[in-house]
Amino acid sequence: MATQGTVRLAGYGGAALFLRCVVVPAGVETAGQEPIEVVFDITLHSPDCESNYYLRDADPGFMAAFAEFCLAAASAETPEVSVTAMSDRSSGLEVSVVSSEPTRVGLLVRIPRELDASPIEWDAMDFETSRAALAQASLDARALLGEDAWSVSTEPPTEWN
Amino acid sequence: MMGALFELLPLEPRSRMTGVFTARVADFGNHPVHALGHMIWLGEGQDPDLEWDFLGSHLLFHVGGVTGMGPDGSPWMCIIQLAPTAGSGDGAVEIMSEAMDRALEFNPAAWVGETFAWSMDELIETYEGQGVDADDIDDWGMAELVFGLLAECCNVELTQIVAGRVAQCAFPGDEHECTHDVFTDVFSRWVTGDLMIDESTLDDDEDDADEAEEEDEDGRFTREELLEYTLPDLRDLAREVGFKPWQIAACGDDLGELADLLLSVYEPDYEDSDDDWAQQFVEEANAHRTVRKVVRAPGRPPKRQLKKLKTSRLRLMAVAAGWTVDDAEAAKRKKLIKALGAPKRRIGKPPERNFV
Repeated sequence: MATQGTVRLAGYGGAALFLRCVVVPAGVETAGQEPIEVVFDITLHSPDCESNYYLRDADPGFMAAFAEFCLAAASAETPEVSVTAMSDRSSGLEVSVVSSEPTRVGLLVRIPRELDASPIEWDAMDFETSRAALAQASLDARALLGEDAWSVSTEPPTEWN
Repeated sequence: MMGALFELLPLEPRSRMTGVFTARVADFGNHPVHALGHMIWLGEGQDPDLEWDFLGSHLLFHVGGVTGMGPDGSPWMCIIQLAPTAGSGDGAVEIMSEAMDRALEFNPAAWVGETFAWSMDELIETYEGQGVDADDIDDWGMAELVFGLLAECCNVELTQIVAGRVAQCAFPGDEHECTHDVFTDVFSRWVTGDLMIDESTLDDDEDDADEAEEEDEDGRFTREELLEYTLPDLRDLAREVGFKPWQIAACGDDLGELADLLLSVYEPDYEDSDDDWAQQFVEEANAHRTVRKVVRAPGRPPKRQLKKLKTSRLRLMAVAAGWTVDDAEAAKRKKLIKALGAPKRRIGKPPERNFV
């Protein structure tokens, strides 16, 4: 369920990925166009550790891409084969399917600790979640976009195939 | 759904259980242990089985629970924790409550609907309320007592579980893949669907009865309906409602006067109340001028209030109401609630319709 501008994708073992929308003043490059912009707090959570990455920029359509990825991962028979990883250049967030079972999907989530560092040092978390939770995360992401859940197509976009 | 645990949970009819879980139990040695249960409503669309695992991963004292769905698909779970205590048990309850608050921070959409706590004595009392002899469980630890309640949720009588604990087999007469642990036996068969009962039929019957009762409770005779009664029947109705013979006689053979007499009835309890809402109730009752079709015995609490009380309190109430101590101790919780609760009775009988 989308709560206070946050999408939560929970997993077994107490793991969770939180994406929180944050409205901030527009950056210099967008000044004059829009006064505000949306950035994201990204949290990788496990029972013994939590990593927070605040105010990360994201590519246009980031939340829609996340919604599409989750729906595809939930509905594909072998998403580890058929669903392309989601990769957002601006935030650095990458989510990919590494395994699947009839009711569960294994995910690998990783994000660079610092965007400008070289070499990139990744913070990663792999966890299993249920297909139901993935589908709900897709709906929650759509809800944040103001889209009617019932209008979501069940077919993944062709670029994911 | 059956079981002492479900009697504590505010679940609507046609709610169903979708999962039962147990977890590793910490060894607290000889320290006395308290149990704390939370009934949690999950966010819309959340997967109860996954969320139980998620929440349990953050609750180091949790030992088990059940998950389910309400009649409208609302997911819920009941999770039970055990923690050692010293003295009154308040410290253990506080520890477990704070642990739950912390865990729920990672699921903001979930919220606690009900909380209940047990000491060892109170759990044993709960078992006694389900017909178990305390001597048969005097060697059980808190974890086993909790597991027993969870197993009872799988449609197996607690007495059967207690009896099966001796041989570590819950179904000695049935062909099954015995796990040689009475609780695992029950959980395994529940998961495979062997222990399901046709709740749809039961719930339909109960719901039909509940709906009929509610309809009756909301039903009130109008003046037109009262005028369809024959004179003798209307006099009988007036007597049932509580009018004195002289009041009824004063109406003579006038059906209309009798009907007006009946319509002057309102809730006497509220007549002398200073509360604004009570006065408003009286005014509205007089304004609508109808007679309730169902009356509740005065001075006795509704059953929904009794369900919130512990069994030991119910037994005391039974003794105060005139039961013998032996009868009160022998009675199961359900019987106590039914006997102590305010009975409802539909007054009057439907008039015979003369199609002339």
